[in-house]
Amino acid sequence: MHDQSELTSDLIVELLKQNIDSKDQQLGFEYVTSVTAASPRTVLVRLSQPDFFLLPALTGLKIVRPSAPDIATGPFKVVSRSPVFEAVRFEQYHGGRSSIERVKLLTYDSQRAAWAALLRNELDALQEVSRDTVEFATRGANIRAYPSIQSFYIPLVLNHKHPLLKNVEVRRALNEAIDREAIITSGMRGHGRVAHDPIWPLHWAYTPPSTPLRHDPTSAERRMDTLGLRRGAGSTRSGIASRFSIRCLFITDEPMYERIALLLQRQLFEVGVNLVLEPIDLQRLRTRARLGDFDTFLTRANAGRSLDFTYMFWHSGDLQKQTMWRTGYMGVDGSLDRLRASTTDDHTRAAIAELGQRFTDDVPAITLAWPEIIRAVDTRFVVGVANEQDPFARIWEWRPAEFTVR
Amino acid sequence: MRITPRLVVLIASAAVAPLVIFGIIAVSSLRDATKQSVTAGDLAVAAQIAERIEVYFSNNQRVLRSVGAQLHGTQLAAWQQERVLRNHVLDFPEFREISLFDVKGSVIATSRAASTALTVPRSPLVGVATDGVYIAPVRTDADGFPTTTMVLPATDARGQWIAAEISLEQLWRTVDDIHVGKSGFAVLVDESGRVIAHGAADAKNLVASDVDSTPEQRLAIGLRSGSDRTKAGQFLGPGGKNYLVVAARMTVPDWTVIVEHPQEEALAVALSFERQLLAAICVALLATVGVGWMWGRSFIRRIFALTRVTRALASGDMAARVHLRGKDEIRQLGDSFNSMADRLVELQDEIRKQERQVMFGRIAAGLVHDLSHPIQTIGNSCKLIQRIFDDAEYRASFRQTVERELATVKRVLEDLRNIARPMPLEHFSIDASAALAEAAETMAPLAETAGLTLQFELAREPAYIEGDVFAIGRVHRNLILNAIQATAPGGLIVASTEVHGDRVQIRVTDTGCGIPADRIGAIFDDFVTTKRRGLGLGLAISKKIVEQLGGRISVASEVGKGTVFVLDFPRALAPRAAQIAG
Repeated sequence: MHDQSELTSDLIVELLKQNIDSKDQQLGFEYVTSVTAASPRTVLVRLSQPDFFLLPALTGLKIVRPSAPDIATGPFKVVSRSPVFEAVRFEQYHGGRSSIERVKLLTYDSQRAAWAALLRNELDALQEVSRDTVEFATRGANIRAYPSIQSFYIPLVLNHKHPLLKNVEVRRALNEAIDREAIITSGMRGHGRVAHDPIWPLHWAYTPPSTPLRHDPTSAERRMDTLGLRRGAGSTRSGIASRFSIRCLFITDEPMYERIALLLQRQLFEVGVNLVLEPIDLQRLRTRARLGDFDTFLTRANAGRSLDFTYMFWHSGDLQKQTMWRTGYMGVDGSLDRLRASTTDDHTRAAIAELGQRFTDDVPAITLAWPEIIRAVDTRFVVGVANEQDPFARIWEWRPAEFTVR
Repeated sequence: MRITPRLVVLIASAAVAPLVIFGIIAVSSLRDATKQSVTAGDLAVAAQIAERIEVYFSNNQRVLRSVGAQLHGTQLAAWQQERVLRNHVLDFPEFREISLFDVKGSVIATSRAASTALTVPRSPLVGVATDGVYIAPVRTDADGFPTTTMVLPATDARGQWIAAEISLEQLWRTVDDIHVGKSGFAVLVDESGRVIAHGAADAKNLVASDVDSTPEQRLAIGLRSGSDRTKAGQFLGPGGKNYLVVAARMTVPDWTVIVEHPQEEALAVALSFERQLLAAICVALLATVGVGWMWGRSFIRRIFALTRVTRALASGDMAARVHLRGKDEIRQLGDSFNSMADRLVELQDEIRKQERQVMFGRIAAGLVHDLSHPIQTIGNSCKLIQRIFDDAEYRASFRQTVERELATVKRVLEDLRNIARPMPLEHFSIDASAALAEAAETMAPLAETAGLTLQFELAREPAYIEGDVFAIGRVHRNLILNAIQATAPGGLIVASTEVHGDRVQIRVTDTGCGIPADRIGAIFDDFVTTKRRGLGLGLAISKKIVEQLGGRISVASEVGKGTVFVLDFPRALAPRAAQIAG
């Protein structure tokens, strides 16, 4: 560890017990009945029943000395958290000594402000480059962009307690009305991948749904016509002739959300649905989402690389989810339970395939896109990652391309 | 002999200077012409960029006018107006926002789902450009990126305005797409001098920054302060390279387009030609120097040959001649020199012949002088003896006279023989004082006859020298005789010896007429005499004898006062017999 002490199973046991006993218990530890140190280097975890999410939970365990949270085991050790987070190279890191001697984290009010700082050579790397300006990043001789698909997706979350939105046919019609490709092209400057469901597409067990809900405005209108939701039926006092109106909350912090909201409004209006846009700040959005006080809202949601967040968001019985949003959706509880109980690769693949199909059949929201996250790194560093991999996950492996003085 | 540096410089300058001057003029002209050509080309590029940007704004104006026409020509409801505005924002990504304002500046409709951030300046609008379109000065948004607002009247009479926030990031693409040559680029500077777009990859940090003193900005500001629409120059740009730069002012908006072209690249053709020309000049120079060296070498070599022969001639080699090839002036000079040398030899032979004739005359005259008297005396005596043969006294006198005169003849003949072939001398230790005294006593009657006083002052200590007593005696007699002959009656002749350490000096001093300075140097030469008659061999023979005996003879004389001859010999030991006796 960073204080030169040896990491022992006793410390792991202690940390695990703290997590298991925590009020904010992490998904994956619910079925743990005991944790013991079988030997100085072995920890024995007993469960009351199989849990697919145990391993992701263990992966996420932060190994730090309880009495000194900055004493950990990574390639960099924290030397300062305020006013600037700063870490220095841990010379005895078990994976090898990093070429990067010091890492400082600077925060900016917006992505574009950070990008401007990168252009002015005030930064060596940027965690996320604005989609508005990424094309210029790649033109810069001393900056290289690293796009990667993250485990976040952008959904238009639907409230299943809404009189119309609780009807799966309405939800399917709305999904068919949306041209996801156009949203990615116009709203995200092409930096994203179509999301047909909330399952991270790069998960090892994922297979795309065989019959996704594709853009088909005619089918959408037909569905709504069949339901009696005809054009003009939901006309408002303002004179908008629509089948029905639903409100959409979106945050104003990022221009991208407003642009996507405008595109959704236009696309839905083309099938006769009036999407009333309501800008809102993030804090109020969270509050109203948690209370279920919304028709729809536009957000960014985490799927989790191990689908743990998919479980938390979309399983009606998960406590964590209740603190995030309340949609009243229960359509995939069974599939998620089977996924959680899966103990073999085949069981997992089958469970995820079933889950994907359920998300299509009983579509809970309008999942739009998996945004492409773009890291920017100064070309003075050789990052050495494959396509779509996140270079920030392995900063300790970066090395100087050449010795230059700026 | 070596070629002097000055000659080399002279020849090299004559050969090289015209070539170098030609090279400088050619390179300079080529550079100027290329620069002018590149500048003209870059100005055309700048004009093209300016046109694109103006088209960009013109298109935006058209879009906004179209929006205005849709909003007011069709009686749309407020939500429909918003949808129109939003559709345009979605379809034209450079528009961040489009809003419709009434005459009081209140928002009628906006593309923003949130509240608009746009405002319309109060009338009259400041900075209204053509067609009533107002383009606000470029500002940086909260993230530091360039943005401007375009405002134009809606197409109705109600005084409404359409305002749009336009992201100028779109212009980056336009500027980035401009490539002048391999690495030339364009820069866009707004009316305040702020860099809006920069085509150089490693200078994008200047975009929308607070930096205000880049060369581009100074150039743009300088252009704006004058009346010209374009300007050309050069400065140190990104990467520390020299750039040829042109700047052109736009009309709408009032920005400046700058095109920068790395000088090395812009003048690549000229530089290449320059290098070729330089190489050609170098080759020509080398060839000139080589040919010049070869030609100069043959030229100089003949001059050197001429110089060598001149020196040989000067050192007495009268047979030296120069043999030069060719038919040029140098050859003519050599021939003239040879002719001159031939003529010189002829003149020398003539002079020698004349000298011989003069010498022969002198010898003949001297012989006549020296021999006629004894011969005449012998002849007269012979005539007398025939008449008075019986006089025994006279026969005795006759005998003495004949013997004396024959001795004189014999001495003259010996002198002549000694000049031709030095006499062999014996080396004995002799007493110089005694020898001198003996000679003086011999000559005393003659001096007395001439009315002169002959004194001798002999050294008290022994003055022995290595010598031949007869030869030394002859030298003494010669010197005393000369003194007698050169001194007027009543004069004084002093013969003396002195001992100075290991040297013995014998002096003969007279109070005679002296020897003129122009003749004193030649008195020891053969057949030279200051006397009117005689062979002039006495001093020449004396000198030879003295030098044969290891001594030196010198003379000092002053006309009208007298002359002194000094014989200087190494001092010798006394002869054994003298030592035993002494």
